[in-house]
Amino acid sequence: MADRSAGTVQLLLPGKAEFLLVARLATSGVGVRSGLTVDDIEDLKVAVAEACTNVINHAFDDRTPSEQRQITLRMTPGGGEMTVEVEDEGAGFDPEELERSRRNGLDGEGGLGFGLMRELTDSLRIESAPGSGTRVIMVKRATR
Amino acid sequence: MRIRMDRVDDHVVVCHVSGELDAYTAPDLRDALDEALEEGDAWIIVDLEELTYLDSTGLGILVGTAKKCRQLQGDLAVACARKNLLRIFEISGTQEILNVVPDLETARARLAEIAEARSRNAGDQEGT
Repeated sequence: MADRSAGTVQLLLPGKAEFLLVARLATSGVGVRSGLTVDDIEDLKVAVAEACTNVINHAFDDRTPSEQRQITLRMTPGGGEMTVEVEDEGAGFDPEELERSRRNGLDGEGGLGFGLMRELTDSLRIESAPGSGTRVIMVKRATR
Repeated sequence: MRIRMDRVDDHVVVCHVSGELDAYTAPDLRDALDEALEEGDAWIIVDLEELTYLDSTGLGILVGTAKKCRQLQGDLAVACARKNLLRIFEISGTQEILNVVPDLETARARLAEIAEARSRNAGDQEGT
């Protein structure tokens, strides 16, 4: 994983769909600095947008105060790779439950997003628990 | 994102989509396709030649619309040649269900083939 001290870009985005474009543009910008190819960056844009969309669709409910409806995006360029963290302070979930659904072929619409994230990145880790928010950490390495 | 609807003949409607299709813009596409279905248009081509971004939200709308078209005895085809979008169809395994083809002409031909095949099958069943 890239060293955060190598210049991590951190964005705090409102948890609203109209800001997905900002997440993608930021991914492109930092991706260029990471030495990723155009195709690598296109892959990562989708993966990052999927993670952000999951936050928007699932992390918050009507009771969530507006100041908590935010997505923290951290992007760290490294030598030939880029690490992206998508974090929220929302409802959280049991990642094991998602994995069980996937194994049982019960992915549904949300599973399609996670499926794309898995296929489009070189490494994907999800840290979450009910009531504790979620952090998705993904790494994309430059295609040689 | 911009959407333009064209009627190419009595049976086929083309939905031209340009820009980026994500969770923010997807409702507009869903509304346009649902409106076509409500007007009885069950043979739909979605033209993605000018679309530069697609993820699972847009995919879900396309797959859902394809299913609705089939329920109305029609079908849906997607015209797309852009590499990054084709990758999304490939990874998700939706190329067949969405009849993904490179261009509009091929999309029209694909829908015509499907209609012809169904008509033949219906004729065969009536004969038995």
